[in-house]
Formats: sequence, C-alpha cells, structure tokens
Amino acid sequence: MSLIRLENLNKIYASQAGNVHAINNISSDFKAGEFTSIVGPSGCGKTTLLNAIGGLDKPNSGKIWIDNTDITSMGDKVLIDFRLRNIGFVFQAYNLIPVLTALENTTFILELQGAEKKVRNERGMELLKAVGLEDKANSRPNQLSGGQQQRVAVARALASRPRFVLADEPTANLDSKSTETLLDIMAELNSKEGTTFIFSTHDQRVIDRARRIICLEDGRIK
Amino acid sequence: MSLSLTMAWRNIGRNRRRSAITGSAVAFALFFAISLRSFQLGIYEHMVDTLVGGISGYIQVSDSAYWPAQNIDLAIPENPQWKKTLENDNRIKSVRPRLTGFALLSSEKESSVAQWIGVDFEQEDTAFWKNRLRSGNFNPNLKKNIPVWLGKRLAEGLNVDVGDTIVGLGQGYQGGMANDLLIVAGTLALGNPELEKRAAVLRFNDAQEFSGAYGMWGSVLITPYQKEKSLSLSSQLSSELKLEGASWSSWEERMPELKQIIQADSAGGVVVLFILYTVISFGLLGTMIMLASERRREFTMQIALGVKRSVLAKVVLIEALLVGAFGSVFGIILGRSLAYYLHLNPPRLLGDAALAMENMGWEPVLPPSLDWSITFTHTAIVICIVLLVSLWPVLTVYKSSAINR
Repeated sequence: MSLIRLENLNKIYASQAGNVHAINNISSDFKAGEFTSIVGPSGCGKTTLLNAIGGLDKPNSGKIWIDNTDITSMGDKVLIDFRLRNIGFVFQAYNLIPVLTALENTTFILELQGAEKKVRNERGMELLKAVGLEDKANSRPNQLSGGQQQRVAVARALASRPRFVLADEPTANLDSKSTETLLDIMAELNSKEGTTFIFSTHDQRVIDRARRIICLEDGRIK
Repeated sequence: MSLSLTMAWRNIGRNRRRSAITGSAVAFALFFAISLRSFQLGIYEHMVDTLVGGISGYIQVSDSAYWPAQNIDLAIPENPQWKKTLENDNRIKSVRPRLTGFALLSSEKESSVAQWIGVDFEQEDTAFWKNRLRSGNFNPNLKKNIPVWLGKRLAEGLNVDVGDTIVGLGQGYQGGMANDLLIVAGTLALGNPELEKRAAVLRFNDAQEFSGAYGMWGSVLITPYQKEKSLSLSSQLSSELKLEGASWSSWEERMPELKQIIQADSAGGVVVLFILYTVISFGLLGTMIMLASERRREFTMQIALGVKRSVLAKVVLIEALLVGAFGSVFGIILGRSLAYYLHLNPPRLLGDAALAMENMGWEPVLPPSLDWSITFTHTAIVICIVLLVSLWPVLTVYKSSAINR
C-alpha cells in the first residue's frame, strides 16, 4: 500500500513573464521504506513538488494522500500539526535553531509533541550517536561545521520517527566527505529504522545512492 | 524551564546590542518618568502639606461661614464624644481641634498683626511641631504667663527671642477682649513664609482663655490616611458623622485655586511624558521591526517543521517582556534612588525662583515624592508600550507562511 499518493497534481505560479507551470499534472506513489531521489535541472519543479508533499505549499489542483489522508483539504493549523507528527524535514540551509544546542535541536520536535524529557534525551543522544555527533550534543549550531549541522538536521528530522523525511537538496552546501558521511547515515537509518526518504537533488552522488529515481522536467515526470 | 522561555531567554543574547538598546530605552523612559513625576507630585505634596496639613487641614469641620475669615465668633461647641468616634475611625490618621483669631502683637519696640492659633500639643502629632521648632521648647516652665511660639519671621519682625515678653491685643469671643502678656517660648519654621510672618501658636487651653472662648473649637482639622481622597472622604464622613452646627470641607473645596494650579502644572508634566513615551515607543518599535525582519526566515522554517504560530508568538512576547522587565528594573532602581536621595536632600531654589515661590506662600524646596504608585503606574505604562510594539513581530509570525516565497 502507498504511503504517499499524488493524484493529478498541478501548481502554477504567476510571474511577470506569465504563468509558470511548476508541477504539471503529476501522479505518483511512494511506498514506505523507499529511498527516493527526485532529480532534474534547476527550475524543473523538484522543490515545489517536495513542498507540496510536505504540506508547505498548496497545489492549485490535484490531491495528495498520506496514509489515506488528503492533506490538500486540510486547514493551515491542522496541517502544521500534521507536519509536526508525520513529516521530517531536512533543508538545504540546515535551518537549525541557533539558540538551541545540537541535542536540543534534535529533540525540538519531540518536545513540541510533548514527549518526556528522559525519553527525548535518550532518543536525541541515540540519533546524535548515529550521526557521529554525540560529543557535540551541547554545541550550538555556530560551533558546528556545515556538514555537522546537516547531520544534526537529519537527526532532528528522524527524532520523532516520522512517516517519511523530505530532504530538499540536503548536500548542496556540503563538501564531498561530508556528503558521503551524510548519505551513509541516511542510508543506514533508512535500512535500520525503515524511514522513508524522499530527496530533491541534482547531486550525482545522492542520485547514485537512491534506490528509486524520479526525473522531473518542466514540472512533469519524464 | 519551558522551551518557549528557554528560547526567549537565549534569543536576548543573540543580538546583545539590540537587546541592550531596547532595555536601555525602557530603563531611560522609566527613570525619566519616575524622576519627573516624583518631583512634580512631590512638590505638590509639599505645597499641600505646607499650606494645608498643619494649618487648615486636609478636611476641616467648622461653621459653614468660618472659612476663610476664621472669625472666632463662628466657633462651635466642643464635642469630645464625636471627636473620639472620629479618632477611632480607621480611615483617619489624626483629629486636631483648633481655635484661631487675630491680634496685634507688640514687643518693646515693634508691633505686628498676627494670627494666633490654639494647638493641643498633647493630642497632636508632636513630631509635626517638633520638626518645626527652631528655638525654645514645648515645655516652658511658666506658671503665670501664657507661652507663645512665634513664626520665625514674625519673631524677627518683632525683634524678640525666647524668654521675651510681648503683649497680645485683639478681638475675643462674642465681643470680648483678647489681651494678655505672652512669653515667647520658641520660634517655628512653618515652611510657608507668609504663615511664618503671622503665626503665633498658643496651647489650646491658653487660646480659649486668651479669647474667652471657653469650651469652643474654631475648627477641627482631620488628616486622613489617604490624603489624596480627602474630597470624597469629606463628603462621606459628613453624612456618617454629623456634628451639630458644623459643615465639612476638604482642602480642594476651600482652596480651589491651589487645586487648579496643581492640575494645570500636572497636565504640563503629563504632556512631557506623553512626548517621551511617544519617542521611546517609536525607538522600541524600530528594534522590534529589526527583530522581526531578522527572524522572518526562522519563523518560516519553524512553521514548516510544525511549530504552531502561537508558540512562536509566545516566544517573541516573552523575549520582549524579559527585556522590558530588565529595563524596568534598572529604570526603577535609578529613578527611585534619585527620588530617595533628593527626598532626603531636597534641592533648594535660589534667587528669583525662590522669591517667586515664597511669594506664592510656600518654602522654595523641591522634595520628590516617594509614592510607590508613581513607580507602579509608569512601569505598567512602559510594559504596555513594550507589549504593544511587540505586536509587530507577533503579526510577522502570523503573516509568515511555511515556505519562503
């Protein structure tokens, strides 16, 4: 059974040059445990598609079903709560909260979900260990390198055991070594915890590691 | 500590300069407001206390025609039971019967018109009089003659000192004569230059004997604990504790011109504070706009992660309140310290300004008020301003979407 089902998805942006069809009638399925890359050139609609799947942006038409729940009909407040409980995000620019330590960033979502301190700290340390940063638990983001920050971001995305993780160009700002480390970690967590990963990327190293690749061109699946 | 509080607390340290500017603006506003208002209200309190407190009373009970002429023929009969009832009322600090008249006082070489005032030293707040005694004492060893305590300027005018004898001659009660030999037992600094030129204080019994008004009160002065509520308390007490043949009046009713002067001057201070608060508000708003624009991306990212907007708004409000609270504490400490120091060491006006104040009838000193309500009121105003300007980042949070466009 599909974890995520996209039905005739369309997203049109108005621009000075006219309407831009960022997503053009896309239908697809994602199964639990997938390790999928959405690839394509810049402007092909990768990020728009990821934003739509994550409930960050509303499509103009079409449906997005997550575990048989249509998120396109949800109100803003309900959608925020849905994201909190079901989706993990990894952003290109890491987007850690600068005033929180690595451990606090990792357990941030768990705390918002109301998990007990002991539970969230155990889970946070477990994930920081998994991403090789247990010794940086008390470091603030500005004390970490870009690669380390992105590893914390991955740990944060996985802390609450979401239904799936959306990662938008997660390796775009990382050097080769950090990229390899991050991909190893995500692949391991995918296989160990069964977490579904969906990436948008045009990084060949990420594409090479993906078990399923969706190619986008001009908002359509090629 | 909750997540919101932790984030708000740490956010203060993110841009220390901005937090310092915001806190300083709050501290300055509060320091200035507390200092200015303490001075203003302190001067009014001093004026009222000098002109009203010891002499005419915050609330006065007398014949309805007694004030302002203070004609001794309009004296009212003593009523000790009524006085006792008043003294037992928990709203009332002191009850002081007075008997007053006018007489010509003559020393060996000089004469001067004086207002004699009968005061019951045993029952009155002795500290009030002791603080005003500049020479002599209140327990002279006199058996035959009547002791008198002269305003220091009256004593200077009559060219007399403690132990000297003067003659008092004036109108007594109901056509009688008020005349006797009076021994100067002391001089008084009454804080009101006009009063110091004319006041001659007698013991209450001596005043009755001097004027022949035995068993009479000229007026009864009442000081409430809440002096600022004299007007309402006066009308309240007049219906609760009636005294035959007497009417009640507060100082505001007897001296409307003094009240008007205070109101007009106070309004000027309020305008100055309004301008200050307006300027400070725009300064604080500027820092909040900066804060909101710096954090816009962060708000977006957190909303994307699933943080409710109300949680983000709470963090921003707590942060603003914490900065406001720190600024307020500093402002209160500075403002209160200055007010306290100057209350103990009140600045004294010099030159023409002093002369102008003396001509208006009060001592040219500027003691600030230590009334905590000034501090509470202005702290509340400043915190409200902080909360109001914090609405900008709160609105930014609520306008933020889950993605950057």
